[in-house]
Amino acid sequence: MNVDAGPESVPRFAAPAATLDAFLAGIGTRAFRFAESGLRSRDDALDAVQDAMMKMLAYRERPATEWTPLFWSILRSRIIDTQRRRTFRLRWLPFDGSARNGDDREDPIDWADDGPDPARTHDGREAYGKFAVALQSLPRRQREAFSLRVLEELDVADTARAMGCSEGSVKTHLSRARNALQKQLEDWR
Amino acid sequence: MSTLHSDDTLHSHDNFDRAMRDQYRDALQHVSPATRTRLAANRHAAMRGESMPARGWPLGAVFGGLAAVVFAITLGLNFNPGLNGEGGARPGAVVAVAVAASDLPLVTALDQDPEFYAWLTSSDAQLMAME
Repeated sequence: MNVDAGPESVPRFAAPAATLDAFLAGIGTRAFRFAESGLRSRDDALDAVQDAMMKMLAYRERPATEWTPLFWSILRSRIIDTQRRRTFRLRWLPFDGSARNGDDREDPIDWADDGPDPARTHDGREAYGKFAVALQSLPRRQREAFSLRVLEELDVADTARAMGCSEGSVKTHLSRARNALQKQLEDWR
Repeated sequence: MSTLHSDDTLHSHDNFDRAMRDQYRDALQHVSPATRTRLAANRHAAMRGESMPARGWPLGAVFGGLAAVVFAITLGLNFNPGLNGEGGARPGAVVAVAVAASDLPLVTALDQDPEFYAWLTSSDAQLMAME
């Protein structure tokens, strides 16, 4: 398993970015994975990330320490909007090809097959695929709490700010998410 | 005893969380070059305040298309007398009604002019009627 901690994989301990551009460059792939697990579509995930980045321009004058919870909060909203639009298209515009399969449409996980060891790459993809399926099966709030608190390592206060709820709710959602995931992913307990 | 159980649970959670985080970091390292390129392009566009071209059929285009179809059908019905049925108004009748409506102030003015009625009874009016 590749656990190399690049600059984009250790968000919690990194110093605040000097510029908004640097902040967005560092958070891009993590935002994509977050959106991908919520939308199950590569293109929709990329669109949601870009929308969130554009909306962040309005907050460029805010202190850099506030950017992280702000960005995740905006991205969450964009993902929810996309899901609602998809449901609307499915209900009212059955002839729209992009909505024909609705929530059943799932792109395969975006994964680069360019590693030196194909077997290891395949194993990594399969392992993350199981994890992603388990994560996608969670209710939205539980998925968000687990992704932001555990995977993104936001503290409880920032997670609550990003999710627009109380810290107590974050703990409740996280506990339920962890229990559900542990049942589905016995191998990693 | 309960403290020990709680510690075990916390330890178990820590291990589980760490394993999930490792999976996630591995996935971050394996985002495809094509997606990274699009993310970078989207970021540059966002920093310039531009949006990338929309994919597929946006909702606005769909509704615009529907509105155009409805307008075309309505226009076709108006210009095809055969499709209007007995109760439908002919275009000519519509024009006549429109002209009559536009003449209404003049007619009203004549109605209220006593000299007009006096002229009607004059010989000039009778000569004009005979011509």
